[in-house]
Amino acid sequence: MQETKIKKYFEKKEKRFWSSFVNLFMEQLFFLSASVAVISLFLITAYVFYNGFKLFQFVPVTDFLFGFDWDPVTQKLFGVFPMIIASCYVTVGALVISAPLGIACAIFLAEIASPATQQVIRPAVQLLSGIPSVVFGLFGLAFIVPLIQDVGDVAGLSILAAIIILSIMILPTIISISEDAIKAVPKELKESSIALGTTKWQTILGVVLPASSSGIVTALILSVGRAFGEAMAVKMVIGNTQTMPDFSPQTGFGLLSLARTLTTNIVGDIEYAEPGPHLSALFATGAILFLFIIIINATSYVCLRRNSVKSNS
Amino acid sequence: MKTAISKIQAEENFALGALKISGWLIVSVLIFIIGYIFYYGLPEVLSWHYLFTPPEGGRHDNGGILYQILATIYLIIGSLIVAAPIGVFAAIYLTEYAPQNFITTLIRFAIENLAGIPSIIYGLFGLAFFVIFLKFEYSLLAGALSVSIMVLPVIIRTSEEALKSVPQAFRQSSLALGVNKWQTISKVVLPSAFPGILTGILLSIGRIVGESAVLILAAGGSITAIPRFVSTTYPYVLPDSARTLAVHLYYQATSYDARAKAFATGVVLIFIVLFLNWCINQISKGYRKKLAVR
Repeated sequence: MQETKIKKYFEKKEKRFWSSFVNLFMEQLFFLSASVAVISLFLITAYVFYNGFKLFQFVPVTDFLFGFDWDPVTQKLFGVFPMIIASCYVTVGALVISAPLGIACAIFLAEIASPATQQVIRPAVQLLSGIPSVVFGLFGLAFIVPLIQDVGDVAGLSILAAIIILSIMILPTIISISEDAIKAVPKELKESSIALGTTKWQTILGVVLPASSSGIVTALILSVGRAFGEAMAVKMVIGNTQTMPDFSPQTGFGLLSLARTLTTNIVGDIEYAEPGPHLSALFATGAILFLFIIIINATSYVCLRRNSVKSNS
Repeated sequence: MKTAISKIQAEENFALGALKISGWLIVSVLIFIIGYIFYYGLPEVLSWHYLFTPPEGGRHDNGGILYQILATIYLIIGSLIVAAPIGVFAAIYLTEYAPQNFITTLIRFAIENLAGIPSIIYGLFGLAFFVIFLKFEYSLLAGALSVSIMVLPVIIRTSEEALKSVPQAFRQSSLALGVNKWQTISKVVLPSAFPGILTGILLSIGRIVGESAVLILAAGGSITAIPRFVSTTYPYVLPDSARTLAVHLYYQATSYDARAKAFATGVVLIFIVLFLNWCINQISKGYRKKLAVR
């Protein structure tokens, strides 16, 4: 009798020991998992920049950043300036098309559309964000490029095609984040505006949009990051030529000319890049791209910060 | 006075009309893109032969996409085995444990930034670290590991949302029974947050299936050999270079003679995305019902 009691006591004690051990062990495991994010970010930054900086043993930084010619195999020229310009051009172009369209759609979803309409549009936006970028690229290559070819009597592969495809791709980002911002506008604000006898549109323009402006700006900045970093879809429709885009009016101020962006430079050249200056130059291209993305992210971070400070006060 | 009012009325009608048009325009663009891909690709897919025969390569890309489907499945499994536990555990740390200190801020900062990095950078990293430094060569393993870092923020964020939505009272009543924190998390918090976590995993499957830039840089693109899951030579798991569906689509679309096949691959990809979205919506519907009952 006594023996079984003692045995039970020790069994219980052992069980408790194990469960508290597992408890402590899991806590450490959770912490380690969370640290993986930090370690990954550090490794990614380190590897991309370290491998990129190797290039500057062969080429001066200014020749790389402001050089106009990219001929890595025969002449060993590593100038990415045209690509930086093309990347910016394509991104701004996409934003010009999709910012008004996306914000309008977000307002429509948040303020006007009936629940039934919302149930059509919202899944559509969700689906749009889920479609792989290569599918957009295929659509661009098979439909938009021939269309530009026929209408403009040009090669078809062009900055314009890239802008159109990118503007479709960044719409979901703009719509979903702007919609959240618009929905977060306090009801009292809108109601007091309506009570003054304004119409719905006047309320939207005068109250809702100003109140949600910082959220909308964040949406736009995030979509800029997406457009700037998109590689595959752009690669498929932009032609990937090394030369500076032709900004003369004959080519629609560059819209109809072929180009190469920072991202497409990496995708296009990686297949035949030999280890050495060429591969390092691709990493350096990635590093420049990364720098741009860091600046864009930091801007959106500051915007969000300012936003949350404002709503707290 | 009357003209002023009618002017305002006209402006109102015009503006609201424009908003409405922009909303429907986006839907019609989507329908047009999907319709276009389906119109050219669906007949090939519906013959089934395309899905279940191995690729033969060549200029016209004869044969099917059996190995590409296999490679995609391997990639999903490989990346999720790594990313899902780490992501969910990290989310648990952030919601249940994390103190307000510098390290937590750093972790959050890292997650924010990982989410903003374009996939091509993950590809470069995979190439430099997994392919070259760890000598994995071009392999599905290198691709899967790069992709798993890429989807980590997706899983962490959605799991965190799901864990946060579990009422605090659940945790308190469990802890009041005298069980410890891990038991509370494993028996009470995780089961209630499961639908949300599953949503995050489905979202990341969507990202993995659609990813191409990372895999071109880290997984290479051989097509004619059947990819192996395990092998006896280094790197032992997912050792072969292989093309997933998205990468295959890219190569098909950019070679003029095989473009017709690219539409069929596109149809398969769109079907996968549609199916995943349907699952996510079903889960969130069920979840809402459960909350309503409660």
